[in-house]
Amino acid sequence: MKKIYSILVIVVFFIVPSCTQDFLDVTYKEKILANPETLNSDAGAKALVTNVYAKFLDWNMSSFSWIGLTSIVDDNADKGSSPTDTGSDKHLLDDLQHTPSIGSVKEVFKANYEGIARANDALSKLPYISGVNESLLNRLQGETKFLRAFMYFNLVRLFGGVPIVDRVTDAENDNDKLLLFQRKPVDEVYTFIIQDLNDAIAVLPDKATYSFDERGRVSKGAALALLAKVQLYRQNWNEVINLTNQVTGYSLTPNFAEIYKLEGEFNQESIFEINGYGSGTTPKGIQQYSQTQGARAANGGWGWGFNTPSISLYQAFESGDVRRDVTIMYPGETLYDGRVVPATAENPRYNYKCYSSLNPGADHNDTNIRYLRYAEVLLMKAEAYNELGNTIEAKNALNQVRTRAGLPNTPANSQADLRIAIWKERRVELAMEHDRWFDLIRTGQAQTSMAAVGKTFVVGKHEVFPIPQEIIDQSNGVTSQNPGY
Amino acid sequence: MKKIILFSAIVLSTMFVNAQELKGLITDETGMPLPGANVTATVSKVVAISDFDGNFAIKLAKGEQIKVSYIGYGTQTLTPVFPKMTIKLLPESTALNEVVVVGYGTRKAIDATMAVAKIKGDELTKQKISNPTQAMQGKLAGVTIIQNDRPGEESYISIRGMGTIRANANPLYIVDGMRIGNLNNISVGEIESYEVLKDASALAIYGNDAANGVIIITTKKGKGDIKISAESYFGYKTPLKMVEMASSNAYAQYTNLANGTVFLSQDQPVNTNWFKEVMQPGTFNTNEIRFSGSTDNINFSLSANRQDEQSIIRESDYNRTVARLNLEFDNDKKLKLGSVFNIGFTNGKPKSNGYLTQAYTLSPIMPVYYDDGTYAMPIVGSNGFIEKSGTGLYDYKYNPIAGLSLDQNGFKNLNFTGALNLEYKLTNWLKFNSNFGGEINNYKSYNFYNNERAYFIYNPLATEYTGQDGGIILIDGENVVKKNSLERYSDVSKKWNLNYYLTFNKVFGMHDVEFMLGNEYIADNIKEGLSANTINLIDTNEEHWNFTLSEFPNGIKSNYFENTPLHKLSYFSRLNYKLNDKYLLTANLRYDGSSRFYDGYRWGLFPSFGAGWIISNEKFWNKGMVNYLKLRGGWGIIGNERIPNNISKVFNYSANGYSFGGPLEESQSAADTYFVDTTISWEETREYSAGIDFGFLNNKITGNIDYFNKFNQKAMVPILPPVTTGASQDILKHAADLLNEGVEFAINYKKDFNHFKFSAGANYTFIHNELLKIYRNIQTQYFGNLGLGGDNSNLRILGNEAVGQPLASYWLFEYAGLNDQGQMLYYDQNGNKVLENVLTNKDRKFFGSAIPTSTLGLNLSFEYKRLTLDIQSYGTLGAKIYNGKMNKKLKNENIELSVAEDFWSPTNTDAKYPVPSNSMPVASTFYLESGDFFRINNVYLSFKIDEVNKFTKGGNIYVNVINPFILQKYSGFSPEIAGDFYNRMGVELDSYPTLRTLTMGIKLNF
Repeated sequence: MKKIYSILVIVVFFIVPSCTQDFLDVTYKEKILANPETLNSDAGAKALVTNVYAKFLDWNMSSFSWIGLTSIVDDNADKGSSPTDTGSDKHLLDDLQHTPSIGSVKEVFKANYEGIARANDALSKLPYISGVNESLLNRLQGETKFLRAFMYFNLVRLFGGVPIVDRVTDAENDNDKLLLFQRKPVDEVYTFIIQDLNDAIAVLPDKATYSFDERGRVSKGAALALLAKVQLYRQNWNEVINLTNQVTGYSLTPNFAEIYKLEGEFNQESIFEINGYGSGTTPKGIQQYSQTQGARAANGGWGWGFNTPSISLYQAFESGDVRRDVTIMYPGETLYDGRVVPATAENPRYNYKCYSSLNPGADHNDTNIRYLRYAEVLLMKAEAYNELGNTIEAKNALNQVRTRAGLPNTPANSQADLRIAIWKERRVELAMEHDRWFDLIRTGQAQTSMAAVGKTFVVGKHEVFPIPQEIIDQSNGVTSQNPGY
Repeated sequence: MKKIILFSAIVLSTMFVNAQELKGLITDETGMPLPGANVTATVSKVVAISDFDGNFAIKLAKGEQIKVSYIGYGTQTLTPVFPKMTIKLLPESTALNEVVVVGYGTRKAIDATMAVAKIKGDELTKQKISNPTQAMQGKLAGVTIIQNDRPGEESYISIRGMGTIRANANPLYIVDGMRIGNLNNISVGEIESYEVLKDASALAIYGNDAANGVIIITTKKGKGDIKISAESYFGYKTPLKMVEMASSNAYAQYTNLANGTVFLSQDQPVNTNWFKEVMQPGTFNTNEIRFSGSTDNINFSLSANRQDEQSIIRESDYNRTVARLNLEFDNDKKLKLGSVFNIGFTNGKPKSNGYLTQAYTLSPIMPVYYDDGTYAMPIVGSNGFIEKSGTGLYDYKYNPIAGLSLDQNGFKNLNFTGALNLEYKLTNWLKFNSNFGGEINNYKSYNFYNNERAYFIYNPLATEYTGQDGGIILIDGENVVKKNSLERYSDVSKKWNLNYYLTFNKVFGMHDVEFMLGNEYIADNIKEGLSANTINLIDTNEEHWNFTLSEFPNGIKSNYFENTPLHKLSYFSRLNYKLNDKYLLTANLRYDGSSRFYDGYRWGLFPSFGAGWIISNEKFWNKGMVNYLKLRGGWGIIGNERIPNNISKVFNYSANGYSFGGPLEESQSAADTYFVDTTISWEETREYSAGIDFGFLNNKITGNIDYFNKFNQKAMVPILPPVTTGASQDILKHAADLLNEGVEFAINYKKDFNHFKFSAGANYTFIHNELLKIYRNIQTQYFGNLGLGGDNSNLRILGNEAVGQPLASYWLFEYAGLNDQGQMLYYDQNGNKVLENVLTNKDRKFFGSAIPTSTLGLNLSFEYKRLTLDIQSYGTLGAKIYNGKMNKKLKNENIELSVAEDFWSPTNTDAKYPVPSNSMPVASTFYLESGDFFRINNVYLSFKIDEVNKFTKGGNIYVNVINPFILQKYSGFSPEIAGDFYNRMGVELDSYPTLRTLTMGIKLNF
């Protein structure tokens, strides 16, 4: 009897703990928000979207590789730095010798899809958030769609047709795999961008309605201006005029130099910019954006000296153009804040527009990238009017920009001359602002402009960059390569 | 009370009155006297020990019997034959009657179908080391150990090959039934035995943790009278092999040529041997004391061990104190209760191996100090000599001796493990066991760096420190000069396991059946910690354990973390069946669940089967020469689940997301970490194996031959998700097939002559390791970069290219000799000799692996009267070593003497080494050397001390030399370099050399 009792005790020992199957359901503690419930709040909803903005501060999104693909490659800038310092592949970009396996191509491609994934994540959650008023949720979705459109606009201009990932995907699912790997035609990508921007325009408020601490958010004006730019690339001139006319409440900064200082952030001319935050114990700037382009010298320099303004750009400024010495800094020069560029600096010119006075060489500082300014809206308007034959309106818009630059009105009169004049004006006005290369491709000037600076632009190839080899390998050939690579 | 004493006295005196003295002689089976045999009276418990000639005398009460025992011989209980008797003891065939621990139970070796290798503790004590794993090197077939002599660090160990790519590859350690992560807190002197489970038939009982093998350690328990033993030893350690560097003038000549200008005088007044400056003879000292004993119901062992060690790098320090209590209650009937408590304190002030690399690279023209006593720097004057006021900085600003003084860090570790074991015999044939084990570990450290002092040392002419060289940080928008910085860290981790099992064992005629069924809970990785950083401490003490808020003018930044625990739940059973003492069968089944995996993929079933046939027990077997022969075979599945937690859909949160013109706002998203493979589960290794155990000449010669084939068809490989998913982290997926196939051979010989005992053992292992297949599309990944050389100094690749190669393979450019200007040439993919500037990855090929294909151990043991001499040796074949330190020669760094003597010049065009250069060459076969070596790894000579008096019952004094001698092909310090096999394994760069140790010690019993 006693024995049986003992056996019973043991059986109980076995069975009781065995029932506790939930022993295996542990709570994950790493990287989790203290309280995931906070998603259902204004702060939680905003945080999802802030994360998309934050992507633009990342090294792979906005720094060295992006500078290589959209600036060093063009005729406004040279690789710079020491001759032996290639910056991994920047010398290849400068010489138009880039291949599908170079790091810069891979990084920029990947970074944009990382940003798109964040946007898709936000868009998948925002509609289901409770306890947040609807107009805020709508606005946040509008901001997100603008940012997603902006990234696709960069991708389509850099690579041509790309896979359109418009939702959260599961890489193990076959349908999603096709979505992730299959390149869509350029037209389809533009349709997608235009849809996102129209959705954004419908819900976004004017810039003026944002509070001081939120003035860096995407506004309706930004969405209109970006859509205008998209239509400019599509050569829908009437649309461009229609849209640019709706971009109101902005004006040119009287003193061009003020735009690029800390005080000039989000000023009257600013439509959309990426904001570096250089203060506090944990500054969060556009990582090393300004450092990679800073003056390089053995003593007293603060940067790596890449992406230097070319002699061609220097010469492109008409005499008396105030913009030249705002765009370019020179060895030995005393800058606006009194700092002296070392006379021994290794390169003859550096990008002044990315200079941070407070912490020029820091990884994180207050330098912003100005992606959309009112000056460009005027130039888009001028181009569209000119293409439609309205040279008077065209000249009117163009001359506003020239006047601010301290230049006389344009001498161009014919549509053809005016077209060249507008393109030229874009070159100098938007120099070192990541626009020139795309403009050269868009306007068909690339081959001649590159030849002028001694580079061989292969028509039919160099209009787009190669698709990174990585995704071609991953897709088992589903993702196609661009011609010529 | 008085009455009782009186009564006892009467009884005793009566006994003594009736007592009779028995004299006798104890001999072995050949008639040779056995000294030191134990004779016990069965009732009065009087004990006598046979003397040097085998004689004994004992007083016995009337009717008492005697029990005669001697280690290695069968115990006999005899009726005395007065006045004198001769007792012949027969040896136990130890190798066969030995009991092995097999996981949740024991098994007589002869009845086991599995491959289990055992080392007994007394063999281990013949090697005075602090690292328990190292003691196994060369002693066991199938166990590969790459030694690591750095104090407090573990050796690399693999059992039957490398069976995983990116999951944890360490074996599972079980100490007295407790699962522990490493052996750092176990003193070698406390170990009674090691059992290494090698094949699936043995391992499957540990299921999902077993794929890398299991090492079971049993610690010493008390036996017999209360004993006290004390042992103390001390010794010196020096590198087994040194590399000779160029002298000052040779260095200056080479460096001038490399720079194309004569800026260093070629008649230097200083010739510093930096190795001598950075290194010191390592010293260590270990003291151990142990109390043990047993009564009828209780046995105990209490020990304490203190070890102090200085590494061969100056100013480093390491010490450890371990105390252990084993306490067991056994009423000899039903209940056995055991408990184990182990506490280990470790303190250290480690110095990085980087100082050894600095000694290798720093030029000999620089003195340690300037004439004024301040630290010298690599700065030359216009006269070409080192000068404080010079301006020519020709090397990075450093001075390793200054570095050693600037680099202040320390750690303390407190480890507590405890276990409770219960065994209850329900009936003669049914037994219940339960074990609980737990571990708590507290680690803390500080890391202090004095930037201001460093600046003045590295810039000897500087007068003011204003944060140059990166010493400025931004706090609250203001630039603050960082004069010094401190990081203080602390964590606590816990783990526990609990199991229950029932064992049924009954013999039905010729059927011997044992069945075991159990259940286990494991919780691991319960960990939390805190780190705090601050700058500009006012008090810059030597140590930084305590500080108060007032010391931090710039505040503290701290970070707290807590880990996700790991839970495992298992059910297991084993059936052992023996028919007629000839036919053996074992079946294991374990069902494991792990919280690391997603629901639906958590549970795994691990079966195994083993069979054995003791041929020599068959009637037809004529026991001539071969007295014992057994065939074994087995098949099974074992697993590995030790990967990082497979988490998905967690939020990536940042308090510093983005500023919209105001302060930074927080950001969060699931996007960056969203993608994990929710379908991953265990790596599964299928193994089949077969072996023969044999004994010749009445077991004077014993041994075994084994074959194994381990196939991991679910090896995990990190894979980057499609770029367009935007996921930024690689994820583990089952993606590769991995094979380890091999043969093991072990043979032992043992013979006792008059006063002389001799034994010898040899073992050999051959392992073929191969990445058979990668069946998913993976992103090629490069590893093992030497640093600074860019992509061209990668040494390893994981991708489709690596299929067909062993793990830890080198993927290099092939050196093709020097051209007519003395520059290095390499073969491109078309076989043309080219310069390095046109090389691409397509020109690389595979050139062998850092994992040896063969290992060999030879052990000899002699005993003559009081003397014992043990010699052990170990060697490996087939491994390749990469001379990373020589490849990574940067501008104006020193060269080896061999380079200085034979570099290319117009007058020495058939030189081995290229023309002097300041650029770091690509990773090529030029730096790949054979790792084959053979080393005497232990010589132990001991002299036995007799009983001095009643209290001092003898002991021994000994001398021990570890690694007295090596034959190696490799030109560097050591052909044994541990490390991650996909990273720096086998690559000599910042690695710690193999050491030679001379130890002297004494052990006394009281």
